[in-house]
Amino acid sequence: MDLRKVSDQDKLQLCRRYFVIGFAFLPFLWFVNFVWFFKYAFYVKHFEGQKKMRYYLTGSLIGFLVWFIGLTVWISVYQKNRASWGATGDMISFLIPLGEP
Amino acid sequence: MAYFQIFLRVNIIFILLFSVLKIKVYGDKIEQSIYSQISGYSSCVTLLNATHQIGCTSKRKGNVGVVHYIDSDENFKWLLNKGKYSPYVSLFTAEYFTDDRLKQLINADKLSGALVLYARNFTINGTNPPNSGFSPEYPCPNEKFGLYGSNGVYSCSGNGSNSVTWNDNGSEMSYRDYGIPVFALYKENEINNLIKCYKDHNKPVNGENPDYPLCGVEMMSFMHAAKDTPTCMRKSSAPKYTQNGFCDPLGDKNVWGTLFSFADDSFTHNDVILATAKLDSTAFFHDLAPGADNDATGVTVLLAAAEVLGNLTRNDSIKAPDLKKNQKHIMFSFFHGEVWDYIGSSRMVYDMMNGDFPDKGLKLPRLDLSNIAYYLELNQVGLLDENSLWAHRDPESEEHVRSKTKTMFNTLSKFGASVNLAIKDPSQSKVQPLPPASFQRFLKGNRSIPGLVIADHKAAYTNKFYNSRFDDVQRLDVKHLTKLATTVAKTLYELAYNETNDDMAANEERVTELLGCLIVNQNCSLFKQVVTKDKAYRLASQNGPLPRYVGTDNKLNGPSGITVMTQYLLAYFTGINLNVTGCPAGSGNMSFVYHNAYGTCIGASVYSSPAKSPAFILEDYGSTEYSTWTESRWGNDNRIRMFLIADPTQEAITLAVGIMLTLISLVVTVFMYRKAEQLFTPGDRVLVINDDMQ
Repeated sequence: MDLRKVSDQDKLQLCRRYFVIGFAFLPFLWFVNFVWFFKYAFYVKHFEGQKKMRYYLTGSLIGFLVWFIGLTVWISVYQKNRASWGATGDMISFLIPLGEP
Repeated sequence: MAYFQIFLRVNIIFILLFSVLKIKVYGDKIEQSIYSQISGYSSCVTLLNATHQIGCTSKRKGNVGVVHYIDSDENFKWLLNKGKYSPYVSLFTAEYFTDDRLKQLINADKLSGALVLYARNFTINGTNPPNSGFSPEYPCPNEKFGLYGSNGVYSCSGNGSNSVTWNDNGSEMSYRDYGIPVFALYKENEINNLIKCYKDHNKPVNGENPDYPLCGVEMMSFMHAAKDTPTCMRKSSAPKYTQNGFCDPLGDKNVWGTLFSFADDSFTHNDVILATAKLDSTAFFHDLAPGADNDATGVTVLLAAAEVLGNLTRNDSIKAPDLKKNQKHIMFSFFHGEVWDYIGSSRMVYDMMNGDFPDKGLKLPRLDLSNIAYYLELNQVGLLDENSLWAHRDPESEEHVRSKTKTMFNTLSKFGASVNLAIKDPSQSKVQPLPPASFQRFLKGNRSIPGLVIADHKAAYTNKFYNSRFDDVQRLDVKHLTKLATTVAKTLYELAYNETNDDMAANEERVTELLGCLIVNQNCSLFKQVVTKDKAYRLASQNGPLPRYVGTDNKLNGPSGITVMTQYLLAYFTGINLNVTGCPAGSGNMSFVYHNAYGTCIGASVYSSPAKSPAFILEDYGSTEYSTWTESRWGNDNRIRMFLIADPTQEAITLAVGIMLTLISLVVTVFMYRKAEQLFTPGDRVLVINDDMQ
């Protein structure tokens, strides 16, 4: 889709849809939303609904960051401690690594 | 598009040009012209117990190193102090393959793998065993699972006043966790190629590091399990649909049999005499365990004695024992997995104590530890110490047990003397404990079983190659094994029937045959005549001795070869020829009935019982009472291959030249595209449209 050819209202509609769908555990969609509409929300001249778009984008960014930090922390904690968690560690692993405790 | 196509074409021309000029093109795959596979190898694997992991493993993608041949202390020191191309793969001659050297090199971060030369009959240079002996076993085998523990006066490793370091030659190599792959190489031409490759490329020049290219080796033997048995068993049992197990318990089957069937009796007293030996050995490389003195001698003597007694039953000289007249049953038992903290014996004891022996399906009377009248064990018996054999006993048994043991000993040494075989009491001068033996597990279950362990060592082992790949280098004396078989048979008979029979003598030819089949070649006439026809066919394609490492409990083809063969041999020696048409039917109490390769129908009271540690029944993987040994699983991509390692600067130059060529061809392409009008005469291109084809 070429955003240049889409009307401001449709952009807002799209941005909102992405924002809402992002709540279905899709942080990457929030990230894409933010990158995609950043220019229109914060740089181009004012249009009707830009304020709302800014609101969706800020929400998307915050949501994405929360996920990002959360996942990073969890993955490093998990990788570091999986072996010492014993049976629990095995249970929550999809693939148990070979050749290590 | 046009850009890209021309660019590609120009590039391909360059590549072709260079490949024709620089590389001779062979018909083989590139892999084959780079690597030279080594097929004759045996690898050290990872085993685990309650607390440790031992053995060897490579990294997941294999370990690579520069070959360094160590056939002298000088070469070893050079690698340790001067070699600059770490990591190395050291190629040891047998003499220099020691725990100390391996550890020094690993600690200095020099090694990514190790190789050792091996040839069964030492036909290759550098495969001779060290003169001083070689035993990768513990100095105190199985101590923690034995009767005396690791403390106290009789403990082996403690400083007790009566302790004996049984395997004083033991280096514990088999129990180290080296963390690198270690292989034994045994194909002469491959070994020669590797040594030649080393000499051509890697050999230090005047003590200095050689130049590239270097001879390298890649070893792959990645083990799936790690840490210890509780961990790997837990992971194996985790419900995963994408992964198989990580490790499997060691185990196999015990073989046992009786001279006369138990079926019509029930046991109330000391009604059974138990004569035992062990079936397994091990070595640093599990596949290379000949187990000659360690287990084959005991098995040979016990089987030969069984035959002597079997002959008496076959010519009706003895009848089934009358338990009411204080006569006793004679039972033979062969334990498997004894190396690994007494797997076989501890299981039989466990079953007896739980009322599960014999297996309920056999419909035999229950045999309990308290029903064992005497226990006679044949340990390593192929050598002599001070020209005698030694009958070890438990020093801590009670008085009434001791007197029975004394009776046993007197009977044994009396019959020994009658055939000119000295069997002595090692505790004469100084009281000492039992050596590592299956009997210890029986005494752990019931301390009042009178018993003796016959061995060829007074104190420390005479066998300097205990549980190593060299166990078969010592000259085993068939004469004294024959005498011992006679002595054992006579002793068992007298203890069982309270009378002497002088008509008993083991056959020296039979002992020679048995020993040869067990330690030289399983493809022998005795084995082929004892087993069924289809098994005899299978034997014909085999070579060398039957493998002695116990292996894992879940073998695809049933129990190990040594178990099956022992079962047939025991049946053949103690059983009778049934001469019935339709052989298996009408065999009465006989449990083991089969046609041997000659078509004779043989029936005997011979059975097998599980030799899997009780720890795996109790699911107590951290057990300190029962063996917890498991073997790691590994992938099927194990291999070792040899190749030349190029100079890294040369590799960098090749890469740089490649990049430059690409850039040049890009420039040329752009130039050609832009100047196409001038370079190629326009009008040359004629478009022909064939009307017919439309």
